[in-house]
Amino acid sequence: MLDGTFVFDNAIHCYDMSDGNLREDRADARYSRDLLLAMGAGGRWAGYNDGSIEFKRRWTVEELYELVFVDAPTDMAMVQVVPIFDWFKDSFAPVLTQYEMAKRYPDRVLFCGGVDPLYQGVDAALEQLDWQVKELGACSIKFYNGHVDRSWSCDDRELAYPLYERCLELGITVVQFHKGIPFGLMDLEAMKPNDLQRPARDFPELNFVIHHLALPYFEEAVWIAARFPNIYLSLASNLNFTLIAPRVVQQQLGQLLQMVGSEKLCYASDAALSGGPAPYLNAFMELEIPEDLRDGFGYPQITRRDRENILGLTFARLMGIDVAEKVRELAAV
Amino acid sequence: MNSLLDAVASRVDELGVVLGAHAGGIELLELAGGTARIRYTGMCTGCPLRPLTTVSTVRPALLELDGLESVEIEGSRISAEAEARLAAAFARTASRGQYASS
Repeated sequence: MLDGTFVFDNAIHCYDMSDGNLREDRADARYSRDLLLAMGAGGRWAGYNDGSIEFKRRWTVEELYELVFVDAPTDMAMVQVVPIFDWFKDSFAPVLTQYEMAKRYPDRVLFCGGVDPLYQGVDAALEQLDWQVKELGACSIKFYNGHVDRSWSCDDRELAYPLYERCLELGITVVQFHKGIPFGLMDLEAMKPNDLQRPARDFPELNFVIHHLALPYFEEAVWIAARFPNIYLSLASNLNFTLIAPRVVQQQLGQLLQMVGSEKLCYASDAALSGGPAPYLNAFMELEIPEDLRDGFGYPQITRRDRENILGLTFARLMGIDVAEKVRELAAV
Repeated sequence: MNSLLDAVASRVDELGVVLGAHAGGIELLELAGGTARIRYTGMCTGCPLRPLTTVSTVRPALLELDGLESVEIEGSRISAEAEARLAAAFARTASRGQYASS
């Protein structure tokens, strides 16, 4: 808990960025991995960026737990597979490692699976979905449609829709999408959130979570989430910039509160790559919308309720977590 | 029977008829103490002019009800500064026909 606020981290990843996980058949593997590391370093805080922690390796579940739950006031988190095989043999954040973390800390960690219909093929991806949900207990699924040369569209009726249909059959109601923030040398356009509109219309029982505010397609993300009742936004690693570029975060958050509402906003740290969440959680609790933005743009001041929604209540509602009961449960451990 | 709840719900229904003229809508999420939480629906969803509707129509109509102290809008709101500016502008032009040539 942070100042009495329930903290539910929407996305953490137990990465494998080791040399051993790099594909030897991809000339761009090392360069792209290093770009990812540099991007993570750019958002890290002093203490997590001083060379004392090696990020270019395979993280263990114990280390990630310590970073998120011991060094930071996190109550719950969802550990998410990153099904990017472009440069990694066993993907960026492997299925079994994420599963292991949820199994090891069942009171606090939920498992989010992940598949890719082009790299794995639709049939194999469907089999993976069955396995990850039925055998491993995945309660949400993460998709990465943007790749270096094999991107797919989220509104593709042959590639994507069978996956959404299978998710519903398996009881999954929350599907999540990495949008914006391209990795390596991907085409930026593949990261637009626009291709989630048709699926959101066609699958009203599914809730779609757009990560990273789809930067640089922020305006698109706002106008889409504002209109679709089943599209949510995850501020995955976006709050890391609260101290680096507070003005940017204040402008983004102000527009989000004005147009979308905190009932559809979720916090995510993206640890471990982004370092420990504690410093930017504290910074977020102190963040305010300054007077000139309130006056000139009409952005509302952030309230206690907004902070509670963003830090945990919105995602808890999506995942069907009874927060009061969970707080009692965790206090009793 | 909660008379304030009945009154607010009834007023929200009336407002819904008005907004329905352009395929918009409104619903009451909850009444907690003296605060009504409201959500826009239909074509009002995502409309950037929702704050205008709130300040000019919805909030004044609801705050006329005895016992209701505040109105919160889920999914969209503007700053207190902007609301005050809008309210002042409406107040200045509240009487119709004031610019008619004599």
